[in-house]
Amino acid sequence: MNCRDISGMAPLYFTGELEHAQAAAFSEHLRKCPDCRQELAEQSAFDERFRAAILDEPVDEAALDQRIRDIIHAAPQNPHRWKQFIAGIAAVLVFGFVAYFALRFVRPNPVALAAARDHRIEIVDRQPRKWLSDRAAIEALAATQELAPSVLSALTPAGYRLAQARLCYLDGQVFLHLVYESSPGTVSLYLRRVDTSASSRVRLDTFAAEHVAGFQHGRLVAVLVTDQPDGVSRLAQSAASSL
Amino acid sequence: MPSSQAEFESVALCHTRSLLRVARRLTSSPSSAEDLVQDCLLLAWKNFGQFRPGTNARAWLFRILFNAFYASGRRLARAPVFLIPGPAIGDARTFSPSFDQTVDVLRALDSLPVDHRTVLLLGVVEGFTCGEISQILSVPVGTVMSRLAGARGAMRARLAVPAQLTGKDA
Repeated sequence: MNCRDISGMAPLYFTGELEHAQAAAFSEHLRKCPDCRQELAEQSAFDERFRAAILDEPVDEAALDQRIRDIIHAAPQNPHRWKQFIAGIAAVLVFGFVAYFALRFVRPNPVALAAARDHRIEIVDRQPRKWLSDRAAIEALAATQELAPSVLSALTPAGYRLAQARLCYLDGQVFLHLVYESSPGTVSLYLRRVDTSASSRVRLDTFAAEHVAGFQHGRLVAVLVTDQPDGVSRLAQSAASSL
Repeated sequence: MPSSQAEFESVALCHTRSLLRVARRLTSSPSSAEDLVQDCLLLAWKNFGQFRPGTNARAWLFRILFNAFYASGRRLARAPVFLIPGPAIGDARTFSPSFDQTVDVLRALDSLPVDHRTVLLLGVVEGFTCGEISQILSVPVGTVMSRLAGARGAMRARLAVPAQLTGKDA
């Protein structure tokens, strides 16, 4: 280490930031070099007198300090804004999570909704359609949908008679629409044979005046629609248990 | 009083005097210095949530102070006055008998470029290390060291008197 190095590293020497090895070499040079010793001593004396001179200058911060306190107290700002930000993000995530499941599980079943609309249009409003009312013709139509006559018999609600049938589309899928009549009213039963076998509990929905109950048993999907709120569940349970 | 206010007052407002002392050497008038420190402290209050308890609050506040100062486009800056003619650097080891007079030191300091004033105040008066000054001013440590050496030399030159007046060899 030479005198030039000492001059260059002097700022780190004064602030105590020299690493151990550097400090040792620095001290060793100072021990041997009177010029550098004198220079650093004078610089140190200068720093001390400079610091004292600056600190001697009167500074009255009281008024400013009070003004800052008044501003902070008068219009407090939440210094933990990042916590609010995190809380906001969490709230959005929770809302999204709930909304997702609400839409996923609570939104109307499209087939049930289509069945209710079809029942309203075809049965309640009696749109002029071509229906099959002959039992043999209905069974032949059912056979085209892989639905055996025994299924039709089993699903006939107690006290009802099969009045008519036709094919229709519900949510883009072909269903056999069977209409059963009795003195309390009319029931629509929509049937479709599907590829995947499964079993589900009866699910109930209400759309305006139409009460809908749907279930899957094996490869058979059945949807009942009626305007009798108390009867649809019982009819569906009876139909499901008869299969 | 919300605990955050009390916490801020204990962490930050105890440094108002230091901030004001430095701001007065940066700006053109006492009122400009107070405006700068007020801006600094209100910014600190606004962003107090980012401050990590236990870390160097003084360095954090000075960093905000200088950010505010430079953000002002130095419109608040004190113009160098050069009230004291600086002798040749070779005479810098010999100090004026009146060196300890505050007014001479302040006038000499004000005659320095603001970058040199800044490192002298932070390093010599406020006691920050070169590493801390580097973080406060967002400049490399080597730059801080260079500015410190230059500022010390310039101050000693401005406060020196010709060698013949002291009877010492230059």
